[in-house]
Amino acid sequence: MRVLRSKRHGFLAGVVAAAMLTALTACGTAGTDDGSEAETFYQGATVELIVPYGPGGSNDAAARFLAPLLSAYVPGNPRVQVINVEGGATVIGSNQFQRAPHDGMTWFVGGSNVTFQDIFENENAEYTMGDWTAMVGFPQGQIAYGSTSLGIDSAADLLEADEPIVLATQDTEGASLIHVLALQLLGVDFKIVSGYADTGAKRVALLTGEVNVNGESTIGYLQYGQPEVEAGNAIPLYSFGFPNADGGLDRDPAAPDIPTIAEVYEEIYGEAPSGEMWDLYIGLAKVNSNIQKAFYIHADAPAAAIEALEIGIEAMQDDPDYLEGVENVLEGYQPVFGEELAEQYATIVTPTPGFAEAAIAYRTEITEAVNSNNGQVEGFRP
Amino acid sequence: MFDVILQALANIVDPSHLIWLVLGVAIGWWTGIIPGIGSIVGIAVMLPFLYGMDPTSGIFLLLGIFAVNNTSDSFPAIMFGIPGGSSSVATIMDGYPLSKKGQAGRALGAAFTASMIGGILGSLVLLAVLPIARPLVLSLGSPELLMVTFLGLVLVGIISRGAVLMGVLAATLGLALSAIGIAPAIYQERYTFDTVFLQDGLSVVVVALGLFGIPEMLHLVTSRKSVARPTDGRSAGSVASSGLWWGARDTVRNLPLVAGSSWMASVVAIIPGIGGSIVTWIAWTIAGLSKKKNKVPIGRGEIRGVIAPEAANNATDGGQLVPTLLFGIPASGGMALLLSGMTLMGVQGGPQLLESDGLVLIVSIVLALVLANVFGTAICFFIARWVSRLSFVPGRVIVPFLVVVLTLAAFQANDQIGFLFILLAMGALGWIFVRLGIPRVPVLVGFVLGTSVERYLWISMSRFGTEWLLFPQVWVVSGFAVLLGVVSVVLSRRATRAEHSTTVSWR
Repeated sequence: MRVLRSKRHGFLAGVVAAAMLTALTACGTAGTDDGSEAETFYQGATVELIVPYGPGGSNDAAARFLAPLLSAYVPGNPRVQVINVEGGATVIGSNQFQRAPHDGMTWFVGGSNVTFQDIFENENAEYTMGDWTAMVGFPQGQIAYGSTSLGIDSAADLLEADEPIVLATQDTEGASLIHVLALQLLGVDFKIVSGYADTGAKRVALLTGEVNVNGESTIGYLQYGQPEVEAGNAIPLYSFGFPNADGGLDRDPAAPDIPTIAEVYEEIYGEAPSGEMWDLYIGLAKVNSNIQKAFYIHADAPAAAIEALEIGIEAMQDDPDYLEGVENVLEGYQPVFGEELAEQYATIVTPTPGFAEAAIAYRTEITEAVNSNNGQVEGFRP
Repeated sequence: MFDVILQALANIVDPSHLIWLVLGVAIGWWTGIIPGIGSIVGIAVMLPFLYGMDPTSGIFLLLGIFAVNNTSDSFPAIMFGIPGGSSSVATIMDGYPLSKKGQAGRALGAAFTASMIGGILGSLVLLAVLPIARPLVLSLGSPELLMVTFLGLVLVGIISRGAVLMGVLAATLGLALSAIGIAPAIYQERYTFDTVFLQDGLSVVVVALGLFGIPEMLHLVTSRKSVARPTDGRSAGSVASSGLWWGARDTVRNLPLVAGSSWMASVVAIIPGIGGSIVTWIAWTIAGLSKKKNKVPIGRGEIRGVIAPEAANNATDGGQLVPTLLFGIPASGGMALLLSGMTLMGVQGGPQLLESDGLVLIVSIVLALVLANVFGTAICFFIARWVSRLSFVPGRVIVPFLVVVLTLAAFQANDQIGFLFILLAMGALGWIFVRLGIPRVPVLVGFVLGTSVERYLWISMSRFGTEWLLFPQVWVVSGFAVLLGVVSVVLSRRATRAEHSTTVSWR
């Protein structure tokens, strides 16, 4: 027994020594703050990719789609571990990312809720969007559709629908506000029914007739909404569109036949939409659609880290797994990088003055309406 | 339909697919045994590997993990009275008393056999019901769903037979616990005490393990005994091994109960937003109603009280697929992962799944569930011989191990230190309840159903004012609830007059 113990002792000591040597070597190469060492920055490193949502959501899927590609193409081939940190309505995960050392060894994938926590000045959020740099942007469109019980052929006839308009929302938070705002902009008086557990519950509510207007991501619409349209149970109303550099609204590339809310407005009122509330809409749309999710690194991470990431992201775009993933996971929405992303992201980090105040005021107003007025809201009369 | 079934069978029998199913069962088996860890953990761990896998193999892997969970989570429930997940709480009612009588093997054998047969029957019923699945789901709006969830709450009165007022009180506490966090429809923080970690509310793992696990640990340690005391001179070993077959024979003798429970469960599980636990309570209540067949009063170690909920909870797997795949409403966290796993592999959900290619996939899934149930039961039977002996291990030996397991399980649910304090607080609460004779199960029932009840009530009131109270469908469902409630309270009054016990024991 004693002989065995000393043998095991020796073996254990050897293992510990080897581990320490490896750790020391790894420490030696990573973290050197030299711009020309982008190639070796991530050599032998393990990077944590934090996702502030549970496993299985669309953010998690985007992160897991990126992780192996980044591992393969970022110079140095770091091991990328996706870590789910749920809780506090994404704030816990976001804070964890912010608190991690800004040494390039922690990355993040966050969605619009993360951005909205900053916009709505959640006092628990320890970050601002300016603390981070978006390296990959994932756009995603949204579509509003209605029940055929409305008795109309297109969104332009919403003001003459056969029955009162009832919109389903999950809550009165950032992502839901744009659905309410869109209808108000068209001048429609309607009732908001808030509290549905998830997108699926809202879909069923539309089909059972409990509500007659519902909005969801284009991805969800194509899977679940469009078959209903084809079966004659629903009609597409409008897409929420993608704000472009000229201040206009582009059609949704995944649903190019559906008019944008701006086009519908123009059809009803004969002129393009404008004004304070329209500016608010554009601001919300940038967060909800243009960069609905993004892959982030700390803005003040070492230059070598950021450069290494840029190289990797550039290289991975030809990989067949990347192309397949864009089809399956992202439903064909092409991710945005480089200068285009930087421009779009800049408008989110420093939005037009007054946007944050307007958003907060709007959220309070709608919450009030749902809480005390039974969800009844009036459309804006131009 | 026939050729669809043939195609699906071909899919399953293909060895390259089958191996993934077996692998899934082997992995998922562990997640059921450890209390508090459910199929979610198993699936989450496997998620990275799914990417790039061929869809059918990947789905089979997920299904394997998923299906066996409902079978193996009977282990902690029966042996230690600690729920493996919210759908195994009903099994504790009769399973744990049986274990204390030294009949853990019998309870386990009955549970596994019921799980297997229930899972098979449930899947077959699902295939039959698929054509009307969509109309069924679409006929239920929020008011009707409110009534179904309310039915679950009414069952609380039945569960706490002999102490109905206490049961209602406990359920109300459960409802209050479910309110912790941000309100469903609008942003309103309740009982979060300015912390961030409480904003998403308590998790059922922390509440269940705290209420049931910790007091059980305390009891084992302070009573200086093991869970079971061998009765009538038979040694621990022989009770365990022959007990399994005794239990299996019990289940076969009660096939009508198995069939009824699994068919009811399979159909009710189709309704979106109805969790797996309600069906286990309905099944347990039904088992209790047929007094003539119960040799022992229900809740005191009657084997039928184990058979019914176990058959029901395995049958829900098939039914829950319907809202998940057809409407994109995941019926549980595990189903949400299944859905996202499918997306990762390029398989889309939606109503088109009921036609042609999609139908083959659905039928393949249902048949795969059947197979997974059989494999899972086989593994459980094989291991049960040894695992059931754990109930004879002295408390002072097993408790340290279990406490570590419970703490880890609670921590992995949401890794915030604050929840460990909540776990202790729930444990203290559970201990107090046991001392005072207040049943703890209604607390859990109230907690699990609380958020749904609030959502549906809010939506119903917001959308319909008070008119929804007059909807005919609402009357049908609530009438059934009232009937069930009245009948059970009457029967329980008669039962408690016949029995002389007044203490509500470890429930």
